Amino acid sequence: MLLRYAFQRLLSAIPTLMVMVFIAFYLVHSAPGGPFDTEKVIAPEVRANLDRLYHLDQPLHKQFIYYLRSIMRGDLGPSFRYRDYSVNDLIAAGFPVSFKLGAAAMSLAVIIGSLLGMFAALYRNSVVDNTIQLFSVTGIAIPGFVIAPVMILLFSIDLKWLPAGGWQIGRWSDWVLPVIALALPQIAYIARLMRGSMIDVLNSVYIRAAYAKGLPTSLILRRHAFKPAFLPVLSYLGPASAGIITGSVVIEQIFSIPGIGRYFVQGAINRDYTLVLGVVVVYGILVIFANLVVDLLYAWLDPKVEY
Amino acid sequence: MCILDVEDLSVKYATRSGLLTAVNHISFSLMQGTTLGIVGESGSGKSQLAMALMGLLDTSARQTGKIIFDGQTISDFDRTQRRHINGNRIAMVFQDPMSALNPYLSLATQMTEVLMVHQQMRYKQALEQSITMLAECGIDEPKTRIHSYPHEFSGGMRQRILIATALLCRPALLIADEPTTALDVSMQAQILDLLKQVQHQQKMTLIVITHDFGVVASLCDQVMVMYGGQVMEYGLVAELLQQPLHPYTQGLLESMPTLKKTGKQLYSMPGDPPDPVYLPQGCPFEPRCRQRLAECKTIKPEPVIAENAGMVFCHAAS
Repeated sequence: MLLRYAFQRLLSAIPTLMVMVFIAFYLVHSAPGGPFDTEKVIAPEVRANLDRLYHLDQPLHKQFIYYLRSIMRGDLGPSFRYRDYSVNDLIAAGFPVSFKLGAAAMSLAVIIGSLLGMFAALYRNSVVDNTIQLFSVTGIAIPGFVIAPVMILLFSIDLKWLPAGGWQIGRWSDWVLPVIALALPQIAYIARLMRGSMIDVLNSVYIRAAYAKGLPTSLILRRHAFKPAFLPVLSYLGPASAGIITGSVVIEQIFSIPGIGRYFVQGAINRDYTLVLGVVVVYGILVIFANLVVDLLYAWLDPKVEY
Repeated sequence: MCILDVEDLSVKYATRSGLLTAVNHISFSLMQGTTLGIVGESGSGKSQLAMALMGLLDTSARQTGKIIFDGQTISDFDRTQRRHINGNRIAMVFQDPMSALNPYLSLATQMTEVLMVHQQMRYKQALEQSITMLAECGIDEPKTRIHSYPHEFSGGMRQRILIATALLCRPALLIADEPTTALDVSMQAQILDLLKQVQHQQKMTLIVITHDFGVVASLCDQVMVMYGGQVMEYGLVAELLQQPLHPYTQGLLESMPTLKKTGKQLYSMPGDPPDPVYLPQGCPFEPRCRQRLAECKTIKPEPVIAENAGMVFCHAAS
């Protein structure tokens, strides 16, 4: 049952992806200029040859069909700017880095966010709660591109504790600042979400009934309260994965991390059509997949959900 | 033997508009194996009284007076000491069976945990005992059904499950807060029968909180009528229902529809219950009372022992 549902969801993801590619395709092409508009003037014959090679001389809808055909084959096309590299090569090199960064930030956000939210709910209206609430509001309000440079200033330049950027294999200190900067807004949001749902759960009749049964508080929190309070956080993790991705585009740029977020920005500036679209496709698959995993986890945790 | 002795119990809350009195100087005692019905309108303080007996009042509540259970002053107990009594010697059945079971846990988990915590049983043994208790409380095929989740049961079934869970440790005292209010009429009768039956079998003391004199008449030996957080009248069910002495009890009974009084308009008591922040100095029922005297407004009535051995708190009845 569960497998069939997962399969159906994956099938229904295909039209979603196509619509996404369609919108992204027309958006990049509607930006003024093209991949071969440089300061150095290219001879008109060379330019015509280039355009023919990359199908740029064709009408847009034909180009779209060419592109769609090629991604159906799993080929994201050649990069317009990084000569001798295909988009597949570039993404294959950058994706593991981006994925590790995103997964680390997501895990950190879920663990720290739910713990903070739980403590805030347990010590409601106390100093602990007010501090966590203040942190939450700040974390949601201040964007990553402000937090990250401030953290570099403080921890890398002033205190010299951590590197200001880079991503060397085996150097774990490279991870600390970008992961925290990427996770911070999500920690803040999850903490708020968890606090609210935990307060609701703690006020529910079944928790009062659990106390009437004489169960120890730790057992009540662990067994009776955590799961229902965590469910709203779980359903937020789909949108959160999209938030992590958009965040990583900025964070990778600031910390010069060789992931695919960097290509997204550079590709857009260079009008490297295939590179930008390739990254969009990968991100799209990632978000759809994250939402599917969230829904399957939800079904596993909530006995009332059936497929 | 006296199992429960409540002495001068009050529950107050500090609110923004002033001190709210939910339970106002209540005293009573219960013999083992008897059933007490606590009757009153919404807001009369009956549920707060139940919460005080369970030691589950909100942390903002101020409780004074004494609760003595089986010789122990449990009102002085700390949380951990109370924990060993709750669900073990004193158990509670909640009003709404739809929300009193945790929707995310199977019955097996929610039942066995009581035995595992209080009687240090192993899961297997606890499961067996829970299955037996479900069967006793009228759940069919308990062996397979115990692994189901609450949403797979009807309201009446869930109330049976709650009762079964409450009875797991064979408590000496069971508090049932409006156990039939959320159920339809035929289910109400079944649940009342079940309560009667288990109480008889286990020689358990039962406190039933209700606003339904029908429940009182079919289940209880004694009845306590509450209003504005205070006791209005206390007595044996047979006598009190036959010959209510307090004007409030009289009004409540008169406002119940019966098959005899057809054709006449049903009596309804004028006015509203008092604001628990601004309780009257004298009798809380004075503004709505048909028999009020001059002193009712200012002087709190002392208990009067009536001819039928009941107790009534009323100037007009003395």
